[in-house]
Amino acid sequence: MSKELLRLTIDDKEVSVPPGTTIYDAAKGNGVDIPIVCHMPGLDPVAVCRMCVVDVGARTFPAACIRECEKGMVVKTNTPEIANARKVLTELLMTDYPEGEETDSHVAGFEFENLSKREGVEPGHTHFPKREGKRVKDNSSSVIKVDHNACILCDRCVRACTDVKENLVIGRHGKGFHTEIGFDNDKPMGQSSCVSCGECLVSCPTSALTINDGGFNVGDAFKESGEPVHADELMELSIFQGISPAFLQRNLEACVRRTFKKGEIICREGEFGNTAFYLIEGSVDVYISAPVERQSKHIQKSGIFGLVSKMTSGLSKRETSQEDPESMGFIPIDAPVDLSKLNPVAQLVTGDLFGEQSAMNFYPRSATVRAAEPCVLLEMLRPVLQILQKNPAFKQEMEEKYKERALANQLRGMPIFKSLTPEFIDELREKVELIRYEPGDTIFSEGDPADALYIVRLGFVQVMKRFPGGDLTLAYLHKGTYFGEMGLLGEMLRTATCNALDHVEVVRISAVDFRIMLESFPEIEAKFRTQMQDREEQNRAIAEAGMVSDQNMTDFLDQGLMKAQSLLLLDLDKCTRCDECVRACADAHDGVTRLVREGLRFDNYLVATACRSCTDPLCMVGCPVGSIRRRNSLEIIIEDWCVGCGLCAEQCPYGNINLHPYETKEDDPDHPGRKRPVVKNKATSCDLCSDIGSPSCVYACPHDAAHRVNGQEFFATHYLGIKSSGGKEN
Amino acid sequence: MLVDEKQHQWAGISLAIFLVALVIYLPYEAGTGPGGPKGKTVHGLAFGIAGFTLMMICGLLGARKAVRTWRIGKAQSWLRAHIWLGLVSFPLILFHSGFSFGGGLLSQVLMYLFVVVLLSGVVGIIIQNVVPRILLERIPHETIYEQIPHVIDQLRREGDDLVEAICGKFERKDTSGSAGGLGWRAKEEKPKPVHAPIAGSEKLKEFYVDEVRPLLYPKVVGEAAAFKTHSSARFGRMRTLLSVELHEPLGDLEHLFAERRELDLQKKIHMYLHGWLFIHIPVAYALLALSIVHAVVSLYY
Repeated sequence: MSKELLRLTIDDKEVSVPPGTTIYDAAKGNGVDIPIVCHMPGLDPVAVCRMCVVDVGARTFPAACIRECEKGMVVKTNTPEIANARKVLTELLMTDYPEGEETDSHVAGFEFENLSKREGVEPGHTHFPKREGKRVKDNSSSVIKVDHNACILCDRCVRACTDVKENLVIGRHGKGFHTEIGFDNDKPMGQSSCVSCGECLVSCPTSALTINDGGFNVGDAFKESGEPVHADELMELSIFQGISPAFLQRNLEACVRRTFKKGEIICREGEFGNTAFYLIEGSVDVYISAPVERQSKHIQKSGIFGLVSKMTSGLSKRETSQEDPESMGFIPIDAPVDLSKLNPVAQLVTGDLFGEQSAMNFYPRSATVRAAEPCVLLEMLRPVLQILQKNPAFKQEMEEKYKERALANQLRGMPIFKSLTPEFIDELREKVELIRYEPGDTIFSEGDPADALYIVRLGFVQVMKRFPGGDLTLAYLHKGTYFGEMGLLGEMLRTATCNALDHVEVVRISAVDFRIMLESFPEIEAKFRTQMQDREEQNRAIAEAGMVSDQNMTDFLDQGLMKAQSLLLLDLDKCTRCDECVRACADAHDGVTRLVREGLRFDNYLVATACRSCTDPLCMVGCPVGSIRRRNSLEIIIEDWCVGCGLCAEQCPYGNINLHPYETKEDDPDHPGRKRPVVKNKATSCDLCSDIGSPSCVYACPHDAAHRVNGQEFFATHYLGIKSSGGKEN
Repeated sequence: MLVDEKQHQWAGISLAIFLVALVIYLPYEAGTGPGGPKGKTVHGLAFGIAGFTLMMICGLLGARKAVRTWRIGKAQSWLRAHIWLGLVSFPLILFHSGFSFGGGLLSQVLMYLFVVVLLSGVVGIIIQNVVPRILLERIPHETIYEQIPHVIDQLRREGDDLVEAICGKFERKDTSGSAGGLGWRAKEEKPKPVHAPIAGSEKLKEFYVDEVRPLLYPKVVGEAAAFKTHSSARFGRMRTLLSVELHEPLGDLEHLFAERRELDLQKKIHMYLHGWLFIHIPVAYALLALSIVHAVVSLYY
């Protein structure tokens, strides 16, 4: 495409614009105003309101927001015909718009109302008959009110929710005359998965989406769960200093003070919560009750069978390295401390904040918190937390606390940094930075200069790389993992792009400090280099998958089979449906099978419902305790400290993760200090029986029908006729 | 298990055992007196021990399946060994008896049991080579065998919903579901909106309620099969009686019924696929037990 500027005339004004510029943008950039409703900067134009029609001398009036400029084009934006068309369109949009008492007092002056006034159209004064009966108002959300009568279906909220925030909550619902915006198809907003980000609200040009009266209006249940607090009281707390009192006044309802007696449970692991807690007085114990070593690693049988079992499983046990560099020595939780795997209990004291991830990202609670002594907490909803996070005083306090208490533990808990001396960590403490990213932010891009190493402190980071077939996700990183080392060890350029998937906070160690660390601790450099080689190898394998994925095999791709690193395929020509595979899986996992002999079919193969170890494991995003992870080998494992929240099972697109109940004990809320038996859930997915050498389903199949195969190798062999290049089949 | 090139290892071993035994047997047979070879001679005893050992190895397949997580060789290797060693054990036992099915009562019973085990095993191999392919080709909606009753209940509910949406509400006498083999209970579902019946849909409702629905129960097998023979004609006839707008739901019902018939067929094929084991396994264990008795009695007395 030529890069030469296009010359055209808009309302007798000669303008020059680059090719591809829309008439609307060209006009706006040259001071010509074209009225528009359905478009706003940052959104893709869709031309549904047609208010921006212009005359380009053609048979019909095109919408300026999508029509691209052409060389020599003569555009007229305000002819009598255009003005007439615009007025009719405005009247049509205004016909059902609420008027007078129907509308809320504070909603005057909305973009669409102003525009219609300019066109001389008032609500209730149009040539078209009004709809019989009113549409509903939805006040179910504590943050946003929805008035469907004022909605003109411009789709700005839909695009804001879908394209800008990627929340995918709002869409169109219904057909024809009955079409309206819907939340999760057709739920009241308050009951939908809306995260109240407010993007739809700021995008809406009418009074269809407005903020609830009186600032942040929360449900009664929250208000009644504690005592109300005054703005003056909040201002006395150090973390609130510097915040506008007006804002605090407006959001007072989003904050309550709660008092707990010793032994009372404040929040419970696995439950979904949307609040964070700030400890005003006292201390609390944080722990997880999911026993870390709940399940035996090998099949324990009693008697002679047990003895032989131990002997035989030992014979073929897979050789595993003494130290898994990816594994952490701690359990990451949603608090300024981490839990030791050996003794998963920690204490938080006055001035600590916990539950940030739950409040910001609506993740399940990662741990149970119990009052260690009588204590007073401030429980706050997301709007308050968001403002706090922007407050320098709060940021500084949290950063200091983190550096003082959690940084050393976090570094020591990561096997790769195990040999760092306390002196060096003290030195590092002064130099590291805590940086926060919003969902969707790019932390760095492939090809950028490598200037730092990052350790994830909160949230999830997506690592992506460009390949000829498109971008591919290499990994999802959670709390306690690091990234950015490959660029620092290599050519000082970033080898991949890292994006914040949600509200992410990272610890940034500058390139200079990283270099000093490697020089002071050569063993750390050696580990980093080994790790880098492993990652490069893994990336190469994924790249090969990306190359093959260009081939035309729609079904195979649609079902995500190309992303599978370990598909369980049953050859239906051979399978006698004896279910030995299912029984073997159950035998290997405490009697609970992790595969179902049903699923998709391709040719004569059945793709059994069992974890595929995807190259893009969406299941790993959001785990509140980082218990689902991938080893350097391909299997995805769910550690025993899983709190059973079920988020991974929900996120697996193929239904391959299940929750299974088990019995354990937890604190009895009615009798502090006592325990009560409870049934908890634990997520399970295929672990390829890595502890006993190879997948039991394949090993126990007597008919040579069960096979574990790599998706792309299977595709290459069976559909393209390419011989597998050393790909291993179990 | 398919008889394919992967069998060559155990087939080779078995052939070698057979040839070695044959080479020993032929001169032994030629050198014996008028009564022919006997089990009590040194050679006969050796053939008997060898044959019995192979039979015992074959019998261990059942034990192997009980310890699925033990890493003591893949189950498929055990099955191959089972097939080929089982086959070769028969000539060894024939060499042991001098090809005689006579002798004492126990010996006779043993020989006939062995024939039954061998033949049922061979039939089993043939079935396993043929039937899975038939299942694959003829049952596109195959489900887990134990889930068939539940799926049939589900089909009936789908049929009910479909007919109610077109023809208006009708009495479902079994809304709790004739729970399938798994003791499944229907979830409490939200009441579905009731539509006004489409004109002329009465006949469709009658046809469904009287002829199709009674067959959408897991326990009804024979009638469904009987209906199968002329179901196309019945649905075809209904098509001529109904208005065009009702042809699509009728087609959906026909499809649903075809799926139900498929499940019947799956049950039948499943029975063929596994039925032979009801003969093979008990007779094989009886053979092993009586063989031990035979060995003890023969050696002791």
